[in-house]
Amino acid sequence: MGMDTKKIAATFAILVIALGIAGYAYASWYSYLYVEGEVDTGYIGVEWTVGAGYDSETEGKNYSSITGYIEGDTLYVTVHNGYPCIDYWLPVDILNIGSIPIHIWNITSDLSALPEGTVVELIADPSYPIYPLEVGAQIHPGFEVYGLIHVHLPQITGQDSTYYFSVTVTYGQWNLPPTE
Amino acid sequence: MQNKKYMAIPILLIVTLGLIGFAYASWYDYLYVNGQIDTAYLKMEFMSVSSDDPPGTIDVNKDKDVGTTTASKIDDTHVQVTITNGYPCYEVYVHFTIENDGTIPVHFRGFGPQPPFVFDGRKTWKASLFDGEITVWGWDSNMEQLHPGDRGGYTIWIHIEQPAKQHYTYTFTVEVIYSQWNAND
Repeated sequence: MGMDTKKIAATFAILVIALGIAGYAYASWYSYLYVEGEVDTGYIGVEWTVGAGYDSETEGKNYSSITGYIEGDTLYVTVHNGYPCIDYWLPVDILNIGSIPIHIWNITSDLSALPEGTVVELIADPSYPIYPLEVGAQIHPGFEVYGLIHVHLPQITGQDSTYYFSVTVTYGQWNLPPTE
Repeated sequence: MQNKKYMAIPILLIVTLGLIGFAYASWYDYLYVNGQIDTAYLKMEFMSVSSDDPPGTIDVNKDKDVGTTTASKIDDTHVQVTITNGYPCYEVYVHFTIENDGTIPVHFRGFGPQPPFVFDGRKTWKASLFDGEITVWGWDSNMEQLHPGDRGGYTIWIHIEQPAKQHYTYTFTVEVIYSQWNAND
């Protein structure tokens, strides 16, 4: 047997083996399992609720008042015919209308246009000590926290005047520290 | 050394981007309160004023028509009282009506300026003017409360004392003091 014959025979043998392996592979029984992934994310959202305002005017002296109404995410508060030394309170709640719990991260105020000594604060309503509206409060979906907007004018307040103020409440997902 | 610097840059970049990414990744939003305060005002007006001794009438507690007192409204907050041909022991009562035209209740606090008016414990104020030559008393309605639209009646009494100068003109002002109903005394 010549050298060439041996090479041809070897090539043939390798080819047979290779095809055999391939054939085995094609012949194996196999199948798949699949994971179809879907992530539906939650969302955060809250809304104001406003109640009927009241004040410290004594009986028979209903000459001033505080009211509020809501447009979108803004609560508009007005003290009507206000005067010094009367306390005005407006009940306000924050309701979680989102799908995950939130934390109230921060409450800031701009009172720079008010007479010195004016009190404007968004505080927890003592009538609902379990659900206080305050920084750090956690609100689960469908739940609310209860607060009061409190206004008190000092004696130096001008008569027949209009003053403005603003308050901003920042809230965020419950499981992160404030990042804003 | 140079290589270390170049290595630090990407590390810093990664850390910074990570922090920014974290901030943007947080879910947060805002609620707002827009507040407006419309304040009240005080406004008191004289509605009428009169004297007990107008021209053509017998002097108060006398039997002769010698002196005369006229009283008239100058504007909403001023009245003019003029005694003509007064003499020692001449006296006259001046009555006036005040209305609360403001938007909150007020308390009538009395007459001023003080001093020389002195509260004598009987809800009256006494002023001894011009070194005792003229006396003015005011009373009634200490701390009386007038709600918006209400009216109150007040009286002052003017008496010319014996040391008063002859042929002389005395000029003085009496303030009617009021304040918001809930202010401290």
